[in-house]
Amino acid sequence: MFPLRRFLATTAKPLLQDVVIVGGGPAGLSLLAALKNSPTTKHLKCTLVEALKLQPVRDFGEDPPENFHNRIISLTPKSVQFMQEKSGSWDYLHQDRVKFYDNMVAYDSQDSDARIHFDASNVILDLGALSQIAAMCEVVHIQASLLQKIDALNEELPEEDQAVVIDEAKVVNIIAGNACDTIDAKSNPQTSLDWPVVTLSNGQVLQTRLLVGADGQNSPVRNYAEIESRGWSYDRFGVVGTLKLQFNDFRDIAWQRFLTTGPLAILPLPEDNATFVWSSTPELAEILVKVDEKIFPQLLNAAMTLDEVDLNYIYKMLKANPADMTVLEEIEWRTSLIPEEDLDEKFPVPISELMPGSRARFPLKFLHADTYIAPRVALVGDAAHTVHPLAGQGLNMGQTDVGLLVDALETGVDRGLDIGSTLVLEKYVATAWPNNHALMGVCDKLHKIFSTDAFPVVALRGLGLKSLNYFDVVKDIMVKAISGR
Amino acid sequence: MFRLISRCSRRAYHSTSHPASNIIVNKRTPQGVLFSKALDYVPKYGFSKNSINAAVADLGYSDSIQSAVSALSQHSPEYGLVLFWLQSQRQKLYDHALNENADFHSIGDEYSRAAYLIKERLGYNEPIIDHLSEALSRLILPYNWQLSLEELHNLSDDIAFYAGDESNDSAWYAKRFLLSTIYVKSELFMLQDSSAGFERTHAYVDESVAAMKSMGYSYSSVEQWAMFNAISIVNLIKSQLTRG
Repeated sequence: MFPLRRFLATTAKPLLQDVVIVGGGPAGLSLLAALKNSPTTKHLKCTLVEALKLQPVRDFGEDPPENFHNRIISLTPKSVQFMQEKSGSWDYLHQDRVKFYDNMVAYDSQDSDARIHFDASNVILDLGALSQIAAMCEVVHIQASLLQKIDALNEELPEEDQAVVIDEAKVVNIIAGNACDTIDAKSNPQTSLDWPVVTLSNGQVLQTRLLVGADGQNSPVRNYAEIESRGWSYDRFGVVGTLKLQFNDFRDIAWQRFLTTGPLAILPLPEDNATFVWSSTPELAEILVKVDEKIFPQLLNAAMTLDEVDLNYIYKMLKANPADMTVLEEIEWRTSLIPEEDLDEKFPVPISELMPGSRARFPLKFLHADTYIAPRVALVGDAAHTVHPLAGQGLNMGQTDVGLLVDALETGVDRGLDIGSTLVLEKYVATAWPNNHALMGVCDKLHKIFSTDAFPVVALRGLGLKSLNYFDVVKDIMVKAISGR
Repeated sequence: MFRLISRCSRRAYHSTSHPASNIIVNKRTPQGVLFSKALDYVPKYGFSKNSINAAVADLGYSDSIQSAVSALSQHSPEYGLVLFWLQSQRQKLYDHALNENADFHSIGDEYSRAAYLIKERLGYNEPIIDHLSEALSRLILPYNWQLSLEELHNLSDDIAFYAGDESNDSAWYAKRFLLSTIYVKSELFMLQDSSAGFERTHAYVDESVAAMKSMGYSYSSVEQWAMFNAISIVNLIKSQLTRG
């Protein structure tokens, strides 16, 4: 007879690991770097799995291109501190591609005098820390710096302790370790462990003491852990892109205008570069990505200065024909009605150019996981929470998560506990969850308040902004909150 | 055997994909024939006995047919005519919604579709606008309003359905109730409207439907938010309990 052959993948012996991180985004890589950088946890066997190729990211770190990437985020001073002290990746960033700003102006589309100006240079911070609101940095740049830091750490560590980064490997499935007990407990005694078993698309099988999900909104790890994530879709799209300003603005101001369709932010990048984030309704987002690249800079200028009535008219023209050059005259004429000194002082430097092909859009959601932990599972970053980008907190919340998770794991290792047990992980959720919940609530409320044109709300928020603008003490507290202190 | 299967497989629910009888008014019955004819005279004589008399004369029937028609219903023939008119307009709206060439099918948003349908239906009032108040006064007579309200509900139900309403919770009732209110208010507005082509009525409908939309949005946002926060409180307590 024919010999009996097995075709089951479980015959591959799983490789035992202490920590397996799924997802090579900023959150996942930060966690790996922070774990390897900490004297307490550096002996842990860590593997990071990423579905995409990481080579382009490494290339970016070696030799960054001249133009800026369109995925840009703001790093709060707290995140910067984390990068300096915990993950140690700060020194690997090309400082000339990071832009700090210390002023922020937010104003209302219904009443352009209803504005609030934050100036962080007035804020006296304890310990003489950075008096900045935030730093703008490309996501891929952060990833590149983290990869470089990890490589540098690996050179110092003994072979068996080195961090492993597996790219171009998707997670095919995740099962609980003792679930395959019945199949081949005899042939493979390790499967009697309750550690989760992760099978990758390249055939590798990992069994891990702690599985960390840093795998984004639709996290497979979260699904495996059966953690519910609740929230809603905003019915809004974020449109992003990189820009050239007409001249270098030395004021270092981040501008944000609250339009009823959603906030539009123009954020500074080094020299005459800038980036925009425009949250808009699905219909408007459709128009925005289609508009001719020559018209688009003028449209942005218009959206930062003109009234919503004018804007709606312009949108209508562009909807009919996205390459309608008469729009340019229309915008010019409407802008000419605003006094020159107002244009210079109250509004951002005009935009001259849109980087070709840099526009992209994505749906905006509000999601928060019920908890970040399950036995042998922890979630960080977008897998745990997704937030409206209007306050630029998404990535920073991820960095905070990583910091708190590392703290919890350090405590666990110090006490000689099993780092996958909920006893260790509970400290992480207890500290991270309430703060994130509060922060997400604030972002959500801001969106709701500013996305209406109902008169009483407009009047109240205008009054609120105007009066708040006079109270420097309150503003200083707010600056501290925005910058994560 | 086949009969048994067919009996067992009979649907116990109402399905929209199952073609049913969509005839709202039957114009072949003696009453239907008479009233359809009488409607031609409504712009001239109004919803009155005169229209029916003219129709009887036109059709060459004997006058005794009037007693046959009025014997069928406990309501007056005039009220019967008003009701028949309402039903035939509803039928017309149905045919319009089915017409693939109508502008209606290029509108994406559910509320805009509802507004379109209300405006379309109000447009059918135009030929008889001078007699509309007379019809309304018959509809609201205490001994008639049960049937009148039923007809109004049928209209708002049709509008909600053609507009693409898929709700299956309390919103189902709320939408129909609000559409009925909007329709009645708009019709009353139309009676006073002297603008060309009833432009102001159209604007009024758009405004009311937009208000309904924002009301629906606020309601569901509040519901969603309340639910989210209720669960979040539990989650928050759970996260803190672990601190021991």
